[in-house]
Amino acid sequence: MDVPVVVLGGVRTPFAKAGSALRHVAPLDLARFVLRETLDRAAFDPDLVDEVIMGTGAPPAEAPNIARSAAILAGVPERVPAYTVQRNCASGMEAIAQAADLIASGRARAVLAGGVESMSRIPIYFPDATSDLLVRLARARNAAGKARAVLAFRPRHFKPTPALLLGLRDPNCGLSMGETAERLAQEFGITREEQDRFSLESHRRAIAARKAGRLRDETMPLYPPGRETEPVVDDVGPREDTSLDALARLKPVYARALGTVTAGNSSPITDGAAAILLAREDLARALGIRPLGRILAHAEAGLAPSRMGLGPAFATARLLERAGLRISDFARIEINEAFAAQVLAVMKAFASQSFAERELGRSEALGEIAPDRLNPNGGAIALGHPIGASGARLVLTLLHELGRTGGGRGLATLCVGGGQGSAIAVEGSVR
Amino acid sequence: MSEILMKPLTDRGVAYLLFDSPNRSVNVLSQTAMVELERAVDEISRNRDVRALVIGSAKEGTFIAGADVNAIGALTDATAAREASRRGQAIYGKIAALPIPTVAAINGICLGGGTELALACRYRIAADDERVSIGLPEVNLGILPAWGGCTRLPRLIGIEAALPMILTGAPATARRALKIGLVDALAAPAGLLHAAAQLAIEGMPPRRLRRSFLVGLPGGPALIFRTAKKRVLAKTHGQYPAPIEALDVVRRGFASTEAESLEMEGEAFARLVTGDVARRLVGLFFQMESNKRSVEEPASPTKRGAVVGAGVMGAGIATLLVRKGIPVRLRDVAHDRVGAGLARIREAIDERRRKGDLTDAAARSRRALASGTVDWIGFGNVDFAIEAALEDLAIKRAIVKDLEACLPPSAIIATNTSSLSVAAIAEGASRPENIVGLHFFNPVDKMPLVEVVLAPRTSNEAATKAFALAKRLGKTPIPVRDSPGFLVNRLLFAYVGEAIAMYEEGTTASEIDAAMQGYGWAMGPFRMLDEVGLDVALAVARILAKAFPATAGSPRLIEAMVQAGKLGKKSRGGFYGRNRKEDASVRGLASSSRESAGTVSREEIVERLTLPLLNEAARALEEGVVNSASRIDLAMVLGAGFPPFRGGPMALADDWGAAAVVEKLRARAERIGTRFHPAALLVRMATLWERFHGGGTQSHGAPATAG
Repeated sequence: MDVPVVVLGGVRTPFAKAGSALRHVAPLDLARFVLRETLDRAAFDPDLVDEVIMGTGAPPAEAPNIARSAAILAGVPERVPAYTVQRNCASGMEAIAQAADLIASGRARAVLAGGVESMSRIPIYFPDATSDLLVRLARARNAAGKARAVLAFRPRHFKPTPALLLGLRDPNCGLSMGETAERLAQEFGITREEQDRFSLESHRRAIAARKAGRLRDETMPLYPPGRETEPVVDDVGPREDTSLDALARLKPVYARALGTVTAGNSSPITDGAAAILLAREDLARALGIRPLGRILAHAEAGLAPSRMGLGPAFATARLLERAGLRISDFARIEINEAFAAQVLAVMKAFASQSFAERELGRSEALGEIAPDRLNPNGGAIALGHPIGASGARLVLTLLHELGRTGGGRGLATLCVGGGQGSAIAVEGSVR
Repeated sequence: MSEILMKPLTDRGVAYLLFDSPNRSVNVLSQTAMVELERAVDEISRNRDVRALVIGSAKEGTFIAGADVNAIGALTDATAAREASRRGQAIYGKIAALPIPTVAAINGICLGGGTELALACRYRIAADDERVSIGLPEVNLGILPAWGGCTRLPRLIGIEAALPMILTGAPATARRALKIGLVDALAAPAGLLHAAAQLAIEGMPPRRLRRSFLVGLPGGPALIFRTAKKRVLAKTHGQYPAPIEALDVVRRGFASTEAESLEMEGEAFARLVTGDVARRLVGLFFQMESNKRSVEEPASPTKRGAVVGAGVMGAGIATLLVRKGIPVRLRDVAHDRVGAGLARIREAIDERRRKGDLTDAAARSRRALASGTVDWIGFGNVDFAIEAALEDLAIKRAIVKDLEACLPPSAIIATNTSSLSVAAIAEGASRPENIVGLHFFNPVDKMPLVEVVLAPRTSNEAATKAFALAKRLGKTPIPVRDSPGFLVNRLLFAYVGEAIAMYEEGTTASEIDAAMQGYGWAMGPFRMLDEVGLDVALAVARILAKAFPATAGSPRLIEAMVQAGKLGKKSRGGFYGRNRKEDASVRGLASSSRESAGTVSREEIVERLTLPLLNEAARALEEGVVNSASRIDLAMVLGAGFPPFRGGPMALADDWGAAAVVEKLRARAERIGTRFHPAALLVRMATLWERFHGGGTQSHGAPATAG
């Protein structure tokens, strides 16, 4: 990258399981909250923003270009353009990657980037035949016509399909996301107990981080519009009361025989948003703002949709090559926990010489990931995975963690439904 | 032409008359403007090539703000007044009589004579813009629309919709105007003139009025008029003749021919404009305008605000900011308090949306301007912070320190205090020059006054920014010196203290309240204490008792009531119980109370309570707490509910005469107590035959508009 790109600040909403604390908060509101709060906390003049990019998995019908609608509500001047990106689970990370590119290439001085998802609000579909009938009803010119149209409705016309379920099933390989995780568990020989242990640790770390106040800097309190007196201050997902026994009792969701993936060792569907503010390094210096860190490089890669969980291995391989780095260069690593099975498979793939040779075209393994460097403040299994927002959260969390622990480089990467991986390398400033 | 631009005739034969008052920010129907308008209309009626006429404004966001109030103020003779009305009616009559289609293109503020001009056109079209405000505010000046407004408005939109506009002066937004048929169409602001021409050429079938069934019933209109009269009387207590006269003109005029109705308008106008009430109200209007003009534009107007303290007051102030499009960060110590404050802001904005003043989208963007926090983070972009926390010196000082640490160094910190010294709050601050007092009154959204408290170290810059912000929020800012009680509370408590003294002597609270309300106060002193809250009143009463031991009343009774948990309306009641009846048990709390002092006349009650107020006003003026008598009048009318038709305390003192005031005070000083000793300024004025308002209130007149 040519022009050095720094991160001036950022914030996320608390993450809440779909249908819980944030279910009445429109995605447009989630998005404008984090954009405005990011600007306020960085004390950054909105007049200096050159572009706004937001990622989202399911663009809301009422604001398809949610980045634009939210930016205006957040006080970004109307003359500043904004667009929305979609790379499924990496949408928020994609927004940051594109923002970094814009700045690195000298086309922008400062860019707001982030991601948002309200999985509570993903619409429910009715069959095509239903909409045909509704159109007929609307066009009927007289009472008789209307009556005929009404009488044509049958119970099957009212059978809804949540769009969410459609989105979580890959149209190319026909598998649901959970089914791809089951396959990885089998391919890499990952047991149910390993998955449950990993999940328990995710909760333990998330709770510890909250108790130590380590999430305070990255989360903002959210006062839901219309229900401001029920503020949401903490993530809803992490559970103090869970145990290996409790996790072991859960039934596998995706495979009856030999199934290992449960609701307990998968990330819950969740509502939330995150944003960060990126800028040219010299602009930050001129304004006297101390950055959280800098963006070093990013990379994306594709793989078989049925093995989408391995995306981080493929994307990271490219990233290392591009940035001339090794896994051991990273003081902290964030891998999005879509499924425990999937993260564990990625760890094995990272460490495997044969995987590197066979799949990545490398002569040596990517490298072992020390468990204490990975997701030190818990991950999506505890916090939840609001599709569009997770990628931005990983970068935000990573930079804060690096700042607290003495700086150094960090890696954030995630798997992407549809068979992709995204990865970003950053360097944290010592706080 | 200097007042009106006449654009060259378009090839479709459309003539444009665009008002553009020279050297003014708004268009005013001055005498020259009216002469020019008549000449232009005459010319157009002679020109066969003109096929349509559009009347608009060359100024951004303002159509016509009304007739020249200076000219109205100068009408002291009924014949001249009658003639002034007839002349305007004649010119508008010519427009109404034009055989070609005429359209008023309303691009913003449209008041009084401006609205009447629009009513004389065949069509009205307004910009779909929040700045559009169409109204007939004449009654607020003690007069009535007399250039055809009382005649044409009811005929256009029906009596039900017309009466509230004429009787209260409340303006309509563009959308509301469309709904009630006051305008025929809305247009994009930038395309208004084009759309107006289109409307003139294509025309539009007359719209059917949406009337309630009442209008059609026998006796229905009579009922509407009776109800309206009752409503007016409930509000004015018969002390303001204008709305009653206006109602009468509309009622009789609606049943007569247009010419007869116009005649009635003119006669009523001549009666009203030469009366005392109009003279007082016009005088107050001039004082408000000249006060408004005295506010300077700061080098950098407030861009982003913060309010500390999310209670009723803090949320109210934050709502004002949000309504004017200024982002605001609301801070309090706990999430539920912040949440409650944000909820209040949202409700206030939604209320305006429900009324149709804001579109859904506009309401959404306004709501999004408020953000909340319990931490001192996110203030680095704020250039004006307002502290509205508890009335406690230590808390306010701590907030100032916290704010100084998180705000940019140039940011202004305003403290909203009613009783504490601004200098004391600023003590220990690292940038005391940035600290100023902004005393808002409760309820914030309704009370038009703000006292801008200037501490000795307050910089000019901070003061200028505070004045400009208060003005932008739609308030009248009055500069006051940082002295106990500032201006309004100090004067008000002289009056309240005397009310309590009378109460302790045995007169009942309801008797006193009735007398003062009868004199024209918005509410009596005891009702007001209940409304404000006895705890809030106590804080002020204590400060004043300490600062002015010789004249201020004792806070003993208020203290006892607070101890007994009688905090007023917000608790178990105060002087009045929940049932709005006087609570006899309060008398038991009064230490020196007597059962009854025998009947005291209303006149005596009024004089006993008014004299200390006048006396204290003279002292405050003498001490330089405020720099002019007009500002005292404005402040007491706008901030304390002093009867507007009496012009304010200083105007009242002029009416009574300084000598009489001094004499009345001296008599009571002997009979009741030394607190009635007349102020030195009053004594001097009495001997020199001086008045507070030099040559009468109208002479302040630089250009001013309305009505």
